[in-house]
Amino acid sequence: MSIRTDIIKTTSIFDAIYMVLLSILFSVISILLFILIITIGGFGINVLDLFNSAVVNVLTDPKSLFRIFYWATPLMLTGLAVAVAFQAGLFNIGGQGQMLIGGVAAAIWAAALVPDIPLFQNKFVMISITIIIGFLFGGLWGFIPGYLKAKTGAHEVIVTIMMNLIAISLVTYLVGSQSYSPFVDSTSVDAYGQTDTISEYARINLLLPSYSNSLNWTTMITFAIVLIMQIVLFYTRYGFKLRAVGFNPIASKTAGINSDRIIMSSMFLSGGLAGLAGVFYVIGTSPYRYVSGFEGTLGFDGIAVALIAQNSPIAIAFAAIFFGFLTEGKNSLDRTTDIPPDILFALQAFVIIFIAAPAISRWVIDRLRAIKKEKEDLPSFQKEELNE
Amino acid sequence: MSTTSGNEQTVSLHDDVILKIEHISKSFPGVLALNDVSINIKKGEILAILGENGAGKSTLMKILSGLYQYDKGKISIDKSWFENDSSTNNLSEIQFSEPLDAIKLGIGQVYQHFQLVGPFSVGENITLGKEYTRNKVKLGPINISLNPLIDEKETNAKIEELSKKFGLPIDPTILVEDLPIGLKQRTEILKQLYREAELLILDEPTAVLTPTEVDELFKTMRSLKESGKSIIFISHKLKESLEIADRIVVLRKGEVVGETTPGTISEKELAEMLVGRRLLSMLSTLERKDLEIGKAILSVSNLHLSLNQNEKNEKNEKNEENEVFHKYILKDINFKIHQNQIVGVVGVQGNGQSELLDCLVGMKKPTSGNIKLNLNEEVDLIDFSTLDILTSSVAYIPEDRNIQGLILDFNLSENSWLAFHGYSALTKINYIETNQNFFQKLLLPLKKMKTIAINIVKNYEVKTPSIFSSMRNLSGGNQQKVLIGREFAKNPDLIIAAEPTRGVDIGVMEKVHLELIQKRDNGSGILLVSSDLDEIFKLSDYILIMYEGQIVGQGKLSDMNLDHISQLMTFGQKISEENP
Repeated sequence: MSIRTDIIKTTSIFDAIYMVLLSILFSVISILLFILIITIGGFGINVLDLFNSAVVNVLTDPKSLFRIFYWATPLMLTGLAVAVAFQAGLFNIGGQGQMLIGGVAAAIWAAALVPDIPLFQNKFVMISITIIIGFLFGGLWGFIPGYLKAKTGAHEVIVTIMMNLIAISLVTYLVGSQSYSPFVDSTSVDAYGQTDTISEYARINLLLPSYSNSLNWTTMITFAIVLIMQIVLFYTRYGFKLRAVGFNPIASKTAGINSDRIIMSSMFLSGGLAGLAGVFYVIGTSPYRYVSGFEGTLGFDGIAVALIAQNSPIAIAFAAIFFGFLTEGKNSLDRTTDIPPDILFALQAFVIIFIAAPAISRWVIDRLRAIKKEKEDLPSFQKEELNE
Repeated sequence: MSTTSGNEQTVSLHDDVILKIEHISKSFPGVLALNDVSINIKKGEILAILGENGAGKSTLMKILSGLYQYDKGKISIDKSWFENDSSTNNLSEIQFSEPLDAIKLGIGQVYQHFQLVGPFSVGENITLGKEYTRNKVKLGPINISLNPLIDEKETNAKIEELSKKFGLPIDPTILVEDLPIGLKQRTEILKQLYREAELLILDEPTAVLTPTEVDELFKTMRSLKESGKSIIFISHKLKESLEIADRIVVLRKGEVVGETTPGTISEKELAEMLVGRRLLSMLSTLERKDLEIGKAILSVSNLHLSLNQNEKNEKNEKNEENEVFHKYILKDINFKIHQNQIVGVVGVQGNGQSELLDCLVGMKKPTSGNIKLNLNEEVDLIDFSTLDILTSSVAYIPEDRNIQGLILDFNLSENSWLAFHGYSALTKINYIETNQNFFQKLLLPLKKMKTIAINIVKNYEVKTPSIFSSMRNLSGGNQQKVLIGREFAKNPDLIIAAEPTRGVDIGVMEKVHLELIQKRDNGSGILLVSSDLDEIFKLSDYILIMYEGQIVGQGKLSDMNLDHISQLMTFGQKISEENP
């Protein structure tokens, strides 16, 4: 509860976006100060180079520009996963595991299990089914902690952490070695950690093939999901109950809301969304197979995204795009300059700090307002003096 | 005494005023909470600050505790308290910048919601922040502890000494969570005395107490007064203020509208001062028809509830030895509620009333027994979920509106929808359409939510900037209005109302009482649980007396006498029977 009331002070999208922009502003200022200090210290970073590489290059090169959205896609989904659970008063930090399970389930289905019948040789049918499978398996991985929470009171944080470990081991088993798993890449003898490429029909098209070889339709689907989640959370009867349980489980129960059902279903939904991040990698990214290590820390970054966006789905889209922008900036720095890309990691961390400690931002704003007010309150003759 | 600025003055007065509030104003965005308020508090006096909800009592109190900064005016305090120099009586202006300042100045607050750590003992709670530690070494004026462990023996001895000094007996070793509310409050008071508070501010201290506990509290207050402490008693209860206070200051809409002493004013005159003229007609008498009761709509028979928690039972045994606290289960509850009838439940808090309510609305499953609801057809509520019960034309006003009733982070409109979310298609409810298409079933009916909220705001005169403002920003009385409004909007046949007027002002209280009477006259059956005996006696047709989880007496109110009821409440039986 305490985390919730601290972070979710606002439900308005505009407030959330305002806070995001403000904290980014503060972070940029902080990072510039930081650079200034290390420059004085003799480790020079050319800010102009940094800006050129991480901002100008990224924004002027269409390939880079579109890649921002490519990077942002899984972050939106894992961010939504965290946000949905958070709105129900639950802290799902199992996004990583749910994403792995969703991805590997979809890949195994589309690469190895899909029967060779005409029904599945239709792109629409095959893609839909693959997505649904990934959603269901990710959802199952989220449902288990939800079920345990509702029925036994087991804390979801601990269970989801453990479920992450189980997921990693399970995936390692499933795609580890041909000697014990039938799902491992059969095209090479000593293949490790990847499935076969998935069925032609399960692969999703690139969105703008002539401009970008990474951005694909999963990004558009994800934007649609963001909108749907905004509606689900704030405009449906289900979302009403979900938020009610999140804010006050006792009052919800007293008003007849079945909070157990909400806990289980929201964790299912949360896991499913994280699972989609895995599926979309498999069906959208060449070489169209499950590859160990694709996940990086996307599941955990989702927590940061949701935190920054204060669990508002639309703000999550913006926050994820910002993170995508930083990721692309890091790549660009790595390619074109000697500047360590970690400086952008630091920026990312600053943003989170400023969001997580909204008091800092508010304090600064209040100070600014107070100074402004003092000026206004001055008698008019003094004001004139000031103006002169 | 040094003066640092031209405004600061050192005033000498002949009488022993210890705190002087002068021309204090405080505004919040859009509201002037306090307007030019001046109050003096003398040494060894109980001053009642009387006012309705929203009159500015809480704001004034928060200013005195350093939580709020005031816009205008000044507060002066007699610093001779601390300098042990009783010869001079110097008032000097003070500025609070944080709550700690108030504590340092000897102002102790006892909040309505206690600031205690449940799993800590009474002694630990009282000494928290200024603990006695072992192996102390004196280094000049500073005590340095070589062993950071708390010295329980010394703590307990000090507490006992303190409680003897002020006549407030308490066992310092008991865990606070095991104490009844009255003793928790006593712990709070002792905590302030331990911090050498000279001025105690009690915020609605009787709101949560039973009549016996109120008497105890008043005794405590009188003995504190005799030992020279000053007390500010903040309340909206006329009778209690008249009983305990030496002086009464009445606040209305942020202004001091009068000052009086109990001997010189009647309750009615005081009420007039408190609420203005508008409510006088309503206050006089509540008109109620004598109605024949209709059929029984709720029948409870042989209801039992056992806790089945070994840990708690052990605790009970332990505490029974201390004769402080008992935890109850329900034993063999039998009663009926008829149409056109208000059934009042009286009993000291914690005698099973909450558990009974939980059973009735399906929050707890009874161990055995029957609960039958007979509206159009007889149904057994035992198998019903809370949602089933609440959508069977039953309204439920839970006793704790902040925790059970409302979701404070939701807005007014969303909170009013909480009573309706469960209806899928019930014709009796005006707001619900019988035929809903797929999307109507899926989406929140924002327009209807708006209509419901607007109706509640209109019918109950809820003071709110908008129906979309967060419930948290409404005052307690207005929150209660929303809660009651939304439940009554269901057009219920059976109303289960627990503490429907807890912490609300007279205006709201009268409105709620009127509504309850109207619902009764229109054929509803009402179960009223309240710790306010006046309320029960004013409204009920029939009463149940609960003691230790049992109904020890029931009957028509007109057949009962007060002595009889209070004996049953406190002993579970008539005293004459106890000693034959």
